[in-house]
Amino acid sequence: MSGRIFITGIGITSAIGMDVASSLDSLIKMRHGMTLPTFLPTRHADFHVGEVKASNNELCTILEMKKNFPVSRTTLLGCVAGAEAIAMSGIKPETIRNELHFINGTSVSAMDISEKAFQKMIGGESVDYQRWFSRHDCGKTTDFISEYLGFKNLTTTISTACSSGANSIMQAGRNIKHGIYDLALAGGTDALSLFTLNGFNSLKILDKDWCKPFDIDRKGLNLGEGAAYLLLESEKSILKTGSKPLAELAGFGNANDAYHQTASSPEGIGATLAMQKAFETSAIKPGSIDYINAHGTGTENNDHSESIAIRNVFGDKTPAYSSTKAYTGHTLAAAGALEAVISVLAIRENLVFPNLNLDTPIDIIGAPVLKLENKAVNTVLSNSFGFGGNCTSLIFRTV
Amino acid sequence: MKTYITSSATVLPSAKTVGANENSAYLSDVNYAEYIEPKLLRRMSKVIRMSVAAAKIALREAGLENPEAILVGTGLGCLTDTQRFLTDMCSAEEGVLSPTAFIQSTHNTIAGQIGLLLECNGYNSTYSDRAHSFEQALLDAQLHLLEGSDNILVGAADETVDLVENVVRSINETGNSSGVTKDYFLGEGSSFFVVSDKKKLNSIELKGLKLMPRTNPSELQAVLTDFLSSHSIAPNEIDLIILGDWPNTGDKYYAAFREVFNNSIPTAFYKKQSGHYFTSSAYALHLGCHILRTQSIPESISGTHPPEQILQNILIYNHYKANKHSFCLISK
Amino acid sequence: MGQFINKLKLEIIEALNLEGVEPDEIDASAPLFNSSLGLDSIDALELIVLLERNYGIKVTDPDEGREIFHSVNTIAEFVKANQK
Repeated sequence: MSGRIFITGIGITSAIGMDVASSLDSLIKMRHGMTLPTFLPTRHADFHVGEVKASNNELCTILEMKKNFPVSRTTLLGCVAGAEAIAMSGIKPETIRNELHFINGTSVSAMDISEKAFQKMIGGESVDYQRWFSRHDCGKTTDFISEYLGFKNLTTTISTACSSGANSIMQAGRNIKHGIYDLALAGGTDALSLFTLNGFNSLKILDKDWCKPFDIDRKGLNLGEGAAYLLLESEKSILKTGSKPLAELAGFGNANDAYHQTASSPEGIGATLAMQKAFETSAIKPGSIDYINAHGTGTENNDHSESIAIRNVFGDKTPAYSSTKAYTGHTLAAAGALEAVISVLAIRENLVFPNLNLDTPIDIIGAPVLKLENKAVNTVLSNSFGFGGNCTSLIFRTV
Repeated sequence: MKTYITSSATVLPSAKTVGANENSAYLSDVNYAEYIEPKLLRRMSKVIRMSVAAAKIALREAGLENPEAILVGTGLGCLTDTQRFLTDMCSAEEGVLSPTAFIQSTHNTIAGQIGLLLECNGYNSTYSDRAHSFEQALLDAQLHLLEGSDNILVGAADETVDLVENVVRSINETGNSSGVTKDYFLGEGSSFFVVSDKKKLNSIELKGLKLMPRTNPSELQAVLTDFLSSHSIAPNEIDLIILGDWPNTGDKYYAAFREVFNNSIPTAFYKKQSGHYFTSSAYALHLGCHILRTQSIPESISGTHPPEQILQNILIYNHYKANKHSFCLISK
Repeated sequence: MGQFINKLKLEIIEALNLEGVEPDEIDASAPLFNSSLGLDSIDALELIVLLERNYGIKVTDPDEGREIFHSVNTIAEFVKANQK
């Protein structure tokens, strides 16, 4: 068998849509999902965020879920997107429940619940710890989603901040490539929380207004929330399940910037290495890339550093590129997974999605794509960079 | 391809020891300034300090400046800073907040700080999946070796804070208390390993690592029996079993596990030293390596039947609430 | 002013977690950043928090911040000039 990794299902929920169809429609119509907060109970009501347009109760209804304890929004979003990916493949879940490996990336996990309990405690109320904290951790979020989706096999949980979702996909890819297992659901989920909104605000890297990735006047990022998963299969698995590949995971690379805890090196060292490693694992050359879905958060630091890294790798031949974070916001652990799904859609639809809200580009690698472009998209490079210098690049290819 | 543990180190502040002549596998009292310069040390909470120290000692013992990859497992992440930022945020009602606790609170700060200090641009990842956090990192290390890398630094750490003590006590008191006895206590610690596919002077072979999801006792026995025979080892060739249990809990999984072996098999309970934390199984592995190297078992963890013969094969078993089962087989 | 400078040094030591550094080891007129203290951009943010929490002064412009935080003396002068 070839060690090739096929994508046979995708699922996504974010500020631009509850599922793949509505998300694609938003991407095509250049309809972003950034608004002032409606569900997040924050004092910072003037900060633009990318909320999924459904309350927790509405999500529970969609999932037909009744629980007598508070369920984390991170978990709910994960269940929605995970279910869609499985459904899209056409595979009956009960036929793969013992074979499928579920690999989930999350950084918030159930902090949206824990912080509510903490507020009660600070206010002097007594709190039922079992009810509020026993599902706090990342592993429990993964277990919960896995159980909801009916899986019985091993799970894996990766928590590397903003590259978690991409790292989960990479991890699944590596294991399938080397025949460790044949079938995985991989991606990530994170809900908005006061913890992360206030945390990023304390770093002064949020833009209150709608973010402007790769713009010379960018002021920072907007946070978002969401979940996305890819169903990945080996060639051997596809022969059994009969599912139809949508695209292929052709390459992946992870490297560490080792420069600063949160900031990226001005020379884009980690990002450059991650992209180079992705090319090495894929036998694809930079010249074959039709579209880069950049990390492009809209912070002064990332967009500069990433531009330098792209120039390091592509020289003066930068392919069409854009950040889609002005559509969805920065969804932290889900970002790499959301953007993996967007990359697959770019390939399926032969579309390059635009970089919204840009007036004047940074003068390093030329302007990103500003309007929806119809062109042959056979290979896509997707970048995700997280705190702790964690840099991951994924390469997708048409089948 | 074989997997070897070239070196290992543990920092275990919570260690409980009994007996004056303990052959300590771990460090409980560390002068962190020896390992970390002040301008970096000042921001580091317990879990990060312990991990940097343990990582540096493991690398030093392996004779390495830099690993090719850094993999970390942590069940609950950087709790001190998480609690600090939460407290600050709630007290200030989302007002002006200090960023340091926030940036130190993300789970991959441990791996990130080690990478930063070592100036290591290699692969860097963090797993956080309860009692499988360390094991997932260890599996990834093996995958790296399979891909042709060498000298992988892999480890795990967890710290405890007051809130966790309160939560766990509360959960145990409401009856969800399998595995809890009067000996039970919450611990914290960090263990790091350098793994390689090349055998060196003091290497211990990681012969087998098997993870299982939720299962039942008879299925556990079937998988265990298969696991041993797949490594051509009979139950009576296991010289010591190291369990993530406390003595006499009545836990049916540990009971089922032990049934596969002779009644008189030497048994050790590592949590008597480390206490319970999600990644304490990393300490169990380090302890197992230490026991094989020194051929002696610390009094404080030995449960039954101290061995008379040479110790060659050790099997470690741990689970968490009937889920996250792991078998780890090591040999000299 | 001397007493205030000393108080400010203690507040800076606490805010930046400068373990083991004594006030008299910090030269009030010497640059704080690009010094042996090893301060970085996160520390600059912490100093902004210190000014707001302890003295009620908001610093919003990072360029302004760079000048204010040049040394302990410049911070002290800024606080005296702007304290509410």
